[in-house]
This record gives sequence, structure tokens and C-alpha cells, in this order.
Amino acid sequence: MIALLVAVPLAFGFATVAFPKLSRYILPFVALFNLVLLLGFVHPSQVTEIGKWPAAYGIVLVLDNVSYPFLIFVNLILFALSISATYEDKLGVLLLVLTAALNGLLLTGDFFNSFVFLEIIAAVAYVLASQNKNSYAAFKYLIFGSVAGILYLIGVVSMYVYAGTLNMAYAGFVASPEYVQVAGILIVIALLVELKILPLGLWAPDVYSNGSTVTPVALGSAVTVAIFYLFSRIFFNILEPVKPMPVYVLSLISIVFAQLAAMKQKTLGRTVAYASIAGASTVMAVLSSGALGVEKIASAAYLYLFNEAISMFILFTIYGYLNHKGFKNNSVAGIAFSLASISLIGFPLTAGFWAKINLLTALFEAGDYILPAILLVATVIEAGYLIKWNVELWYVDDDSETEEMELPFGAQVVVLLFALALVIVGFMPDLVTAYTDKIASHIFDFKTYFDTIMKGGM
Amino acid sequence: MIYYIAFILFGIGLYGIVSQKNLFKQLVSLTIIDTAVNIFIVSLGYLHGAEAPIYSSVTPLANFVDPLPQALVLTAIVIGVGTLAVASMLLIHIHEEYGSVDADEIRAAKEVIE
Amino acid sequence: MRRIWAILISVVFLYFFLGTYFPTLPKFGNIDMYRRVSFDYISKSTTTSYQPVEYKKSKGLEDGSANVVTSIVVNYRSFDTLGEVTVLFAAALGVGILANIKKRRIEFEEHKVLSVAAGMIFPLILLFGAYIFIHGHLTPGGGFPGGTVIALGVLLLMLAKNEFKVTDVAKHTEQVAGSGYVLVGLIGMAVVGVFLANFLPTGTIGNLFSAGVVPIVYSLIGFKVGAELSSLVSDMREGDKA
Repeated sequence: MIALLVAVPLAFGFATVAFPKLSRYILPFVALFNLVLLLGFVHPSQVTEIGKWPAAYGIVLVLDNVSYPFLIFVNLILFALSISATYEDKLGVLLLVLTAALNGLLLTGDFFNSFVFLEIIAAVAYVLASQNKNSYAAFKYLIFGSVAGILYLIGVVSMYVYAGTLNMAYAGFVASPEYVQVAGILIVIALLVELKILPLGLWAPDVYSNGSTVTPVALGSAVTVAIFYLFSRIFFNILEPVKPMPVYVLSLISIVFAQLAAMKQKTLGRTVAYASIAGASTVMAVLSSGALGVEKIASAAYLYLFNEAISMFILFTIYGYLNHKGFKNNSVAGIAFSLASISLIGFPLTAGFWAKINLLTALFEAGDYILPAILLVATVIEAGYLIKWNVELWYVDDDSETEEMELPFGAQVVVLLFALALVIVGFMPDLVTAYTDKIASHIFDFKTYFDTIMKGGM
Repeated sequence: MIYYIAFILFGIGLYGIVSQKNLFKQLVSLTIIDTAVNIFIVSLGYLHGAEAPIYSSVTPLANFVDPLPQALVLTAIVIGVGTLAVASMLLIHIHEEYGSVDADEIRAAKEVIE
Repeated sequence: MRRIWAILISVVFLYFFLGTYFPTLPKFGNIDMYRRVSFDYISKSTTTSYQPVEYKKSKGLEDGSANVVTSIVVNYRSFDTLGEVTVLFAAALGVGILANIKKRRIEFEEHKVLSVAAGMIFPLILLFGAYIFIHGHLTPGGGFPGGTVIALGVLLLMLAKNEFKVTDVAKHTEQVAGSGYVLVGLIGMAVVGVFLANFLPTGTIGNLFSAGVVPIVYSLIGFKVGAELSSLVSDMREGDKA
């Protein structure tokens, strides 16, 4: 049954290529079907062996307590994207393929299968990045992303050579740890390029600031969350942690540079792009800090990721539609924009406040002092430029009243609902922390994962 | 040995991507990297004295090299072709928009536009 | 300055690979087949116990293709092939989206020799491509090279005659073939219970009509890849402003 999460969007994607106009209307229904299937018909800890071959020989799809919340979250983002974005007809088919690929990446339990789904996501991302005459940035992204994909492929094949099988659970069980470190280095470099950590993420500002309403949301929210899931799965659950120090130091440097660069940008799109890089680097720094294995830190990191994804969704959608026009005539957009900025900074009564507080307390308890210091400095810088942009957009003097740009109805609804969700989570953080605690408690537990796969599936 | 050849090709391709200014030459270097890694993966499955993994009248009983890396490389080659197609189309667009495919000239043309 | 950076990055990568990575690999040609899953792929014994397989004599095995690589690509790891088909689909669609931003047409010079020869060679190319993907389970090749050869035939026609257009037939072929592959998987789900399971009898190794679903899937892939690459080349050559 869980194979339907991948098969149905793919079938609709293939079927509508000759009638592209239909795809724009089918996309919300497919995303809704996925959500209904997840919430109503499947429950955690199921394994499907594709083609009925036993686990080490064939490909397995695993739905357990770690992938279930991520699946719901990513499908929710895609459903919201299908209502709120404006795009040309043929892109709808590509978004259906992206839905199938993201679901597949979150479900898979096989190394080479994850490589294939990563490449599908990359191919769709290159085309999305070139919207609005942005071909040069898309080309730079293509070069970075292809080399990253090839390094990932070498890492995956090395896992096969060390372990004799491509299944994630069996390979983690059989391969000897000092060999696995080498493959881990290759895989982690590839994932760092996708996660926009500077200096490997230099493609991100140009790609995210092209002003389309689809590209930064799909790439910055949905794809980033899926790749953080992949990173957590591979490095916490299956392989022994690769020496985390270089990744930790790189992420810290990346946070500082990204926030400093965000201050100096002149367009809103590039500012939010650098803020997105800083957010992803923060989550990566937390996940790779020396205090690995502590569940509270991981849970706080996932809450921060949730806050990042939803705030960036709101900010990029509003930038895509309004593009520096003021908020005087668009109060709905203005309210949502301000709420999202407040949540990013971390003022009380929003989700961002709980994310940062939990993060800081967990890090202090674990004895790490460098990261909280950098986090506080970064928050101050972020507050500086976000407040400046908010003031500028609320009090802009509109000389040219000719072009009335405003958000379409669907986008207004989605953006307002997401901003409201941030405030609600700010009042009752247990809504989300229940899920992140469950993820954190299961992600370090290799034995449960291995037993789930050994018992076989439906 | 063939491992060395494959990785020297990889190094040549990486040098090409970083040092060349013409975008099309960067694309060709990317293809060299693709090919080098495919050679490396297939060579990971070789067994001395074994035949190609097909049951035929020449080899009715099994004495084969490892077929799984060959299946992986089939997929990797097709993915490389797809990426090459998208990159070529992007280059056509860059040429139509800026008038050349050289990184320095494109940067100069971008500053003129802004 | 760029060259110094480039040499530095290449040398660092090569140092890492040759120094840290190579010692962990087995020596060239000395792999231990018994530790790897390929041993059971070759003897087709993943769900049964080991029995040596012989050409034209063994029948009714769990997977019937004589070409072991085909059995891995289409039977044991069919989900990966579905993903690969999707990558090519996304790339061709992306080229189609990008092509319709500006009006463009590339003209070729017509040569008498090419026009005459193309008419004679084109059916042979189609026949060769079809042979490759129909016999995918008996000889090397399969759907992907077969589809590429068919697309090369279409490219030859495009070079020979300037007014040749790839019409919507390619789009419809691609649509039917792609959905057909997912449909085969869903039929497997309905009949056997799991996505992409083999539901046809597997016959004797080495016969043309053997190996269950494999020839059907490879034919669908051959059509799909041929249609996709033809429309990709045609989109690069001329585009309409949408």
C-alpha cells in the first residue's frame, strides 16, 4: 500500500504529459490523496518488499516512526504549494514527478534507490531553477549538483563493495566501521552541497532569488527537509557517525558568513535566500555538534527545521508575488510576512521562540558553548535586517500606483493559515514537539530499524 | 591498474571544471568525470578468468563476473545523458540571452543590464 | 589564479582518493563473489535454495532471462529502472519547457546523397533498434540502447530533410509507454500483492518467449526512450514562443 504514495503521482505525471493543462488541477488532488492515505490507512512500522524479493536482494520501502512525520510534513508543504503558487502549465507535470520522487526518497531503504531519487529531484530542480530567465544561475547549480551526485554514487558503490549488499540496514550491519568512514565522507560532501552549506552552497542565492513562486518554495522548503531526513537516517541510524568535527566547523563558519552577507544585500529575494542558507547551516551545525546521541538536541533541531521550512515558505511566496511592492494595499500579505519574520527571529509567542529556547537549553546542558554563542550573535544580526525590511515594506511611499499586484486568493489563504500555525505552535509547542521527540527517540536506535526489516513486510 | 586510470581521468575533469571559463568546456569536463566514474564502477566487479554474465551456447554454465555494478552503471549512464541534455538546452538559452558562453563576458553583460 | 586553484583542488581530491580510499578496495580482479548478493542473482536462487542453472535446460525458475544484467535491472531492482525512466522523462520535459521561450529554428543544408541514403537506411535502423530491445533478455542491450538507436534514425531523417517535423505522435507514445510501465507494476500489485511483481510464467532460459514480464517492460521502455530522445532533439532544433 505504501508503494501507492510513489506510484500514483508518477502515473498521473506520465499520463498528463500530452494534456499539460490538466496537470495543474490534478496536483492538489494527488497531494490530498497522499495525505489521506498517510493519515488514515497506513500506520508506522510497515515494510514493503518491492517485487516480493527478500530484503537483502530486492528494494524495500520502510515506513517507521522516523519517516512517518517527515512524510506528512513534506506532503503538506507540497499540497500548500499546489494551491498557492502560479506557474505555467507544463511545470505541473514536473511537480507531480517531484511529489513522487520526494515520497520515494523518504520511504526508501536502499542506497542506490536513494541515489536514483536524488537525481530525479536534481533534474527537476535544474529546470525549476531556470524559471524567469535565470539560465546562468541554473547552469552553475547544475555543475555543482552533478559533481555532488557523482560523489554520492561513488560512496554508494563503495558501501556495496564493503558490505556485499545495497540494502541500508544490512549494509550498516555487515560492513566494518573503518571502511564505512571513507564512504561516509563521500556521502556527506554530496549532501552538504544540496543543503546549501557555504562554500559548497554558492549556487543558492542566485537560484532562490529568481522571483518565481514555485522554485524557492519547492527547493528551499520541501527538498531541504527531505535531504535532512536522508542525512539523519544515514548518519544517525545506520552508519557510525563520521568524524563530525569538520562538518561542525564548516557549518559554524557558514552561519556567520550567511548572516553577514544577508545584511548587505539590496534585494529582498537575495536576503531571504541567505537567511535560508543560514537556517539550514544552523540545523546542520546542531545535528553534527559533538554532543551526538543526546535526544533533546536532535528534537530541538527538528523543531527548528519545522520553523525554518514554514517561515521560508511564507517569505518566498510573498516575495514572488509582490516583489518589493508595499504592504499598504496587501495587509494580509503584510501580516503573514511580519509574523514569519518574527518567528524566524525567535520572539516569544511564536514557534521560533520555542525552537531556539529548546536548542539553547539542550546545548548548554550538553556542555557546548561555542554554538549557542554564534547562534545568539546570528539572531541579533537576523533581527537587524528582517526588521529593517519589514519597516521598509510597510511604510513604502507608492509613487507608481499603476501596477496593482496582489496575492491570488489561494495564496492568501495558505499564507495566512501557515502564519496562524506558527502562532498556535508558539502557544502550544507540544503539538509539534510530540512528533519531534518521537523522531529523536527512534533515530539513534539501529536495532529497532534492523528488526523491522528482518521481520519482513506485508 | 585501471583504478588509477579512472581517478586520473576524474582529476582531469575536476581541473577542467574549475579552471575553464568557457561554459561549454565545463560541460565537457563534467562528461569526462561521468565517464571516469562509470569505468571505475564496472571495474569493481571484475573477476579474473570469468566471462560476461549472459547464459548462452558459449557459456551454458555460470562462470561470470559480478553483474550488479553493470546494472548500476546502466542507470548512471542514462542519468548522465539526461543531465547533459538539460545543460545543453541551458547553454542555448544563455547564448541567446547574453550573446556568448564565456563566464567573464557574461558577467560583463550582466553588469550592463543592471 | 584560476589554474592554481584548479590544480590545488584536483590534487587534494586525488590525494584523498589514492591515499585513503584505495586501500579499502579489494585488489582488481580478486573479488569474493560468495559474500555478495550477485552470487544469488546469477544462480537465480534468492527465494529458493542453490541449484546450478543451465542454458536451454532449466525451466520454471523465479526469473527466466538468460541475460543476468537484464534480470537485475528489470526484475530484482525494477524500482530503480522506474526511477531512471523518470529521470529521462523529467530531462526531456525540461528541455521542452525551456525550448518554448524564444522562437528559434536551425536550418541544415540539404545533400543529395544524404537524402537518398536516409530513405534506404531508416527502416534498417528501426529494425535494428527493435531487435535490440525485443531480445533484451537474451543478448546485451535492452530498452535503453534500443530506444536510442530508434531516436538516431529519427535524427537522420531530420538531417536529411529540412521540413521534417516530429509531431505529437512522439508525445502520445511517451505518455502511453510511461503509464504502461506503472500499470504493469500496479497489475503486479493486484495479482501478486506487491508493487512490480512478476506475474507471467517464466519459461525456459534462452527461449524468446520466456522471462515473464521482462520483454514487455523492455519494449515499453524502448518505445518511451525512442520517443523522448526524438522529441528532445527536435525541441533543441526549433522552438515556438508559447
